[in-house]
Amino acid sequence: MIRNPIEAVGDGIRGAKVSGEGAAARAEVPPERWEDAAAILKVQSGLSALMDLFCIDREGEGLRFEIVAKLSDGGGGSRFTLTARLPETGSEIASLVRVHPAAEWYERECFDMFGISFRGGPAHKRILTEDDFHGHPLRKDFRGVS
Amino acid sequence: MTGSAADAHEISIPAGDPGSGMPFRLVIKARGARVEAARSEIGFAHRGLEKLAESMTWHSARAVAERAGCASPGIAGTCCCMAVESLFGVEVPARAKWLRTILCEAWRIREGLSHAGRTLAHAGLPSRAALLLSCRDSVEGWVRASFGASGSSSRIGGVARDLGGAESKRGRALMRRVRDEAGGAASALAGDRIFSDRTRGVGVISADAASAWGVTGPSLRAAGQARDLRRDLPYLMYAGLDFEVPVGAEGDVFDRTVVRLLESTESARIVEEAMAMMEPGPLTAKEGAVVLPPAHEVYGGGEGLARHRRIMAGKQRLPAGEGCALVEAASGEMGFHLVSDGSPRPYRFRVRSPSFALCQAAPVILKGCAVEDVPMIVASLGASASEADR
Repeated sequence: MIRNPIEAVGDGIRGAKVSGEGAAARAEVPPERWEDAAAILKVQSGLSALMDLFCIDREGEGLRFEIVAKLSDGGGGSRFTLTARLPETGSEIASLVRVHPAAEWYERECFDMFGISFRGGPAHKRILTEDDFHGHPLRKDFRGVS
Repeated sequence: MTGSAADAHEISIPAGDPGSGMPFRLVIKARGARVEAARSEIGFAHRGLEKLAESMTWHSARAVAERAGCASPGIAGTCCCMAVESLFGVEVPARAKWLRTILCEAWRIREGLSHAGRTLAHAGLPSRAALLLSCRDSVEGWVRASFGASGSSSRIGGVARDLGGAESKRGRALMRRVRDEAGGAASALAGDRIFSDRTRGVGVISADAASAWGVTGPSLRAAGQARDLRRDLPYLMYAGLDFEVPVGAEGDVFDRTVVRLLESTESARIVEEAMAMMEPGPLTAKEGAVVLPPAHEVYGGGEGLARHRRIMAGKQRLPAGEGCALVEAASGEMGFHLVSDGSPRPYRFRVRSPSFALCQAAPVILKGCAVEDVPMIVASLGASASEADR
């Protein structure tokens, strides 16, 4: 039986903050439950497709990095946004590759652009910039290379 | 290539290779003429567009979005405008939505004919490919002449120009040609032995695998999954339009090509229907913090000019918040996730491109195929380097 994702993540993840409904439904989960939340949504709510995964640098806030994953079911009729906040130091979170193989390149991009580490995921290999590039361009404190 | 034909060897096809037109670098591990494993690499066309947009006003960032999706700038530009409008609560007038619908469908036809044509050229049907590509060029010429040379008339709050009588007439004739060419090609291919032998069962991806790799659009529909945002989560004027969503069954090169061609005929019908249904009305929203005033108010001086300057010079405070838009682009779902911190510039400008997912999934699709089929399979996916790399 397919469960409403709001209920599934609300019941399954302690500390989840859920909001919105329909295509705007979203939940912020504690970073240590990131992978569990994605697995629950996949198994219980049928959200089997990872459509996007990216980071927002909220510089100046205590939990500086917001990781956003956009999920959908196979048919595309159901949509959900899963987020987690990470502190500036030790910005590490579990990889989603075991739940969603498509996470690999998105996580590489998050590492490349923001320096986020994904535990148990792809090696820290850049994807859009060159391998010997220094810094993470989409961080707000990045000041260019020249 | 090193070693004898039966040995394992590595072949590297660079991104932008003129013969195969690869959107990514592909490293193939082959044994004989068979692909044992493949690895795709992107980033060669990376321009840092998401970063660049953060230094611009929302209006200039819209032009950046068109460069991110430069294979079909009308669709990327429209999607970006829709996301900005959802962020700032701008209501777009009906005629602008109709014109955007026509613009997006025209670009879908352009892309459909282009990828089908290139696939046919690789499959050994150069004459039919030439017919489709010539039709593609006519469609692109019409779009750029009617909607602006940049390929998109979408602006935040509406559209920059109307469709004139002469352009509509030319467009209607062109859509008839598209239906003839694409529809004719689709039925001819069904009975074409050469094409069938070359493409059936080649470059297969199942619906489940496609979904797991985030692959959407014609590549997913060719595998039998009738997923189309225009019907599932309608935007612009699609809810009121009558159109089919063509699907395949096998998810191979054959089905992808036929789905693209049938989609082009449906898009031509949509354009004709939209031209018949749209009614006169304003082209841009009257209200909205980021909506530019109409040209006559700007050139007239006074408040219009002052407002235009405030917006374009980035000297106004805007509401903080987040906005998203999701559209069915030519090769799958394209989305913008925008964040405003209240300053005149985007705080975060995220582009979800269908090609990024296609490039990642390409090695899964290529595994086990013949080396000679690689360019044809990649052409049938329709990935664009500009979209994937941004």
